[in-house]
Amino acid sequence: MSEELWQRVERHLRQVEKPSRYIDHEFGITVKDSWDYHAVMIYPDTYEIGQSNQGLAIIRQVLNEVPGIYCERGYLPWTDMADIMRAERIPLFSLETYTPIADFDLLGFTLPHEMAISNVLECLDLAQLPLLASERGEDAPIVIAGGPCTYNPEPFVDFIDAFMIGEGEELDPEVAILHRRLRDEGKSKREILEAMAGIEGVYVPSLFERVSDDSYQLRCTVPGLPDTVRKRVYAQFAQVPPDTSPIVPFVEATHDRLSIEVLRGCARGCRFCQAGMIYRPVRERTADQVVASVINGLACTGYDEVSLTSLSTTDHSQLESILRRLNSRLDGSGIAVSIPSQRLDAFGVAMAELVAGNKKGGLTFAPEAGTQRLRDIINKGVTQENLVNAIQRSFDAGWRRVKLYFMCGLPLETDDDLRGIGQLAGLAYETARDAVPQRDKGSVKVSLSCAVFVPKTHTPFQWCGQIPRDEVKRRINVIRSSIPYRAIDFRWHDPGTSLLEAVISRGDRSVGKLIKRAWELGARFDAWTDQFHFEYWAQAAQDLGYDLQAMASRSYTVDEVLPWQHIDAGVTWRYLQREWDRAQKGITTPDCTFHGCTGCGICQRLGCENVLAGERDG
Amino acid sequence: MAEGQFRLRIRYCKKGRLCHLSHLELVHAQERIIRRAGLPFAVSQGFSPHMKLAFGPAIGVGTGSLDEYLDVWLTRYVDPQEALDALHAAQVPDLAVLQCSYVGDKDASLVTALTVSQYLIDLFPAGEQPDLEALIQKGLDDIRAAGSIQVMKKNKVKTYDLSLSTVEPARIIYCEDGVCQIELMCRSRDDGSLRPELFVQELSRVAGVELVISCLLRVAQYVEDQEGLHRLV
Ligand code: SF4
Repeated sequence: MSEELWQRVERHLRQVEKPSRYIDHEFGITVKDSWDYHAVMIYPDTYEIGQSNQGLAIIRQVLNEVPGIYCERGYLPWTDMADIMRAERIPLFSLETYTPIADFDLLGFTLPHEMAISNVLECLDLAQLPLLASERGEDAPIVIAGGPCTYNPEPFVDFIDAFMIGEGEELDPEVAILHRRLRDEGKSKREILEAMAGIEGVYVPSLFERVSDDSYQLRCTVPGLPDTVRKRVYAQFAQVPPDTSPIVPFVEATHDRLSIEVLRGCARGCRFCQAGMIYRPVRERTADQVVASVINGLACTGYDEVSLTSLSTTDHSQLESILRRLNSRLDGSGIAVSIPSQRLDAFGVAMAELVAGNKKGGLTFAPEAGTQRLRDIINKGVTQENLVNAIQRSFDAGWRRVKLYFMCGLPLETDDDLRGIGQLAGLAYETARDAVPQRDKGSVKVSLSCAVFVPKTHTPFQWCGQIPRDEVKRRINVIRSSIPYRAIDFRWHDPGTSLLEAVISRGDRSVGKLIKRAWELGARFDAWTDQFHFEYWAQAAQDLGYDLQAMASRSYTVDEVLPWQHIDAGVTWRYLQREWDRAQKGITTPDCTFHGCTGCGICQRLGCENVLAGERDG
Repeated sequence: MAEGQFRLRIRYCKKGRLCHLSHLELVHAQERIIRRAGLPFAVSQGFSPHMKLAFGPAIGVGTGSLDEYLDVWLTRYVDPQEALDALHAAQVPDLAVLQCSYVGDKDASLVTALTVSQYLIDLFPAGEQPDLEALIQKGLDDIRAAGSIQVMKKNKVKTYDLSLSTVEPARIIYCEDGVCQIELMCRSRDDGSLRPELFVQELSRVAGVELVISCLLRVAQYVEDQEGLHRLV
């Protein structure tokens, strides 16, 4: 414990916003007296955003279970504190022992979304470490990164020593244990990284080079190591119960409740969705396990709310039984159960009714596209009838607010599809008003939120470019003018952010220079609308002679080698190509957890399978 | 007693790093401690049911305390010692529970009863200041002679009459190694209570030296009546 570093920080706590971000000492933290290997996992945003991240909590937990390893937490201080730290030369610290980040053996980042990357650089700089991996010496920690963005690691290779591709439950301890042994044997960083690269799921970019200047194809320069890196899957997920004694923060976290992960993966196969591809196969925890974990977790933490998290909680085959059992166990306790999003059908609303009790806030539904034609193209298996029924049922049951999510700029989209969004929202509004008694008609609220399509790697739409910014504006206007009622609230995402997301999500190694330049110009906290300045990125692109628009809207042909093709997410390229082909023909592909295998390839190739707790229907 | 009438009064402290908690964070932390302790708390009925509990006068972010109170209503009698043991097992050390006892359901609320706070404030000057004690003493004397403090609040001048806002004049407890500790006895008032930070701001101005608070501690809270000040438990 660096008492001295804590005292230097404490002197300034009266000057900053939310000082409890920096004080540690919460209930549930891991305290160790001695260790021989020191790791820190940093969430590259503020405490209250990062504290609720379940992925990092899992990594810390599995590392802390290894004897001799101590894994701590780190966050990016808010700008007020960061500015003080720079002025006072206070280095970035871990929370539990207030150790300078540069003194750790292993420094891990999660990359939850593209816009977090400037914060990774901000963390490295506050840690007083060189930003470039190539400039960090033998004494610096090994810097690793995991999380969804690492499925295309190329934009980040300048800064990160090794990427952990896939699920970390087994992977991260293997990496740390290997590192500890080789460090003790006095091996060099290069030797350690080469050895790490031998573990399945680890990508060490410094060991790869381009085969030729006119292709993105990479090959590994170390003999005996493969040219592609395959993701790791934690096959035992469904058998192992979730952690029921997480840290209980003092600062109100963005998800300030107990989270129990009820299932992993989603096989619905929406063609724009990366999560639906990279987290396969589907693995459900059983109802017994979920109910016991919730009861246990609430008692351990003292939370008054629990969220049953996953990509598609309403798809859990035993959800109804889980919710009924929880309702009877928690009756009268004032504890609320929540599920993150609603499936767009009667069953989804029935489940929402089961958790809502008499507290009916708002519901969110995501039809994603305005016409059946386009919904078939994106493989979003919902119909207008589903939406109408769901709205009818939910307003009948007492809800008065609904939010509808759509995307704009999807591949093969036409103006008819855009006008379909307005018409569908109008229909939703009429249905909602018809479903409520006369006196409540005024309180019916339908809002419409539209995101700009960002092509994601390892999806059937990975070859497609994003529409240009001017075209985004035009299409947003088409939607706006097609909304039949003034009462419908319409919002859309910032096209500048979406443009950068597209540049980074499918970027190649050259994007690293852009990121570094933007950070030098002042970019940080880019995911915060009030902190985001597109100008920094535009200036950075100009300084480097890059054309952001061209990078974002670049389309690839299906036989080109893509910058991320050496990362194997388990789902085969052939499957993705077939899905893109079916999309162009408007043919849908069913969910393999309902209707049998559709041949994405992951189960055969990774030796795993969908694990369902019961029969799914829907 | 009817359900919900077992009103358990909990006395606790807020110290160490946890003095940096805001009042709202403290409220949430205590609710969770009570839940973890498994006490049979009563739940208010209505649209959004929540634990029935009431806190004493709010304590600000950055202020520690050795004497905080909250009342929680239980649905059945729990032996106070058992409640204390359960709370000890569930607490975080810097929010240690000190005492538990039942009070009458109709007794005055904590906010109404506890009107006087005794603060100890550790101050140091922003730069070198050889004559710190004399400067601070003179500052305190000048404030006392003026009889009131005026501060700008949202572009309006707010005047605190010290005969109403404080119980006794502030005094120096000790002054050594460049740190000066003063004691301030504040009375809470409906028209706005004098916060110790405001007092220090005024003291800095009057003494002509920038004073930085290194530690701010509420050491005790009192009930005030005709006979003077009393402790609650
Ligand atoms: S291999 Fe078949 S069963 Fe397994 S996830 Fe892919 S489509 Fe589903």
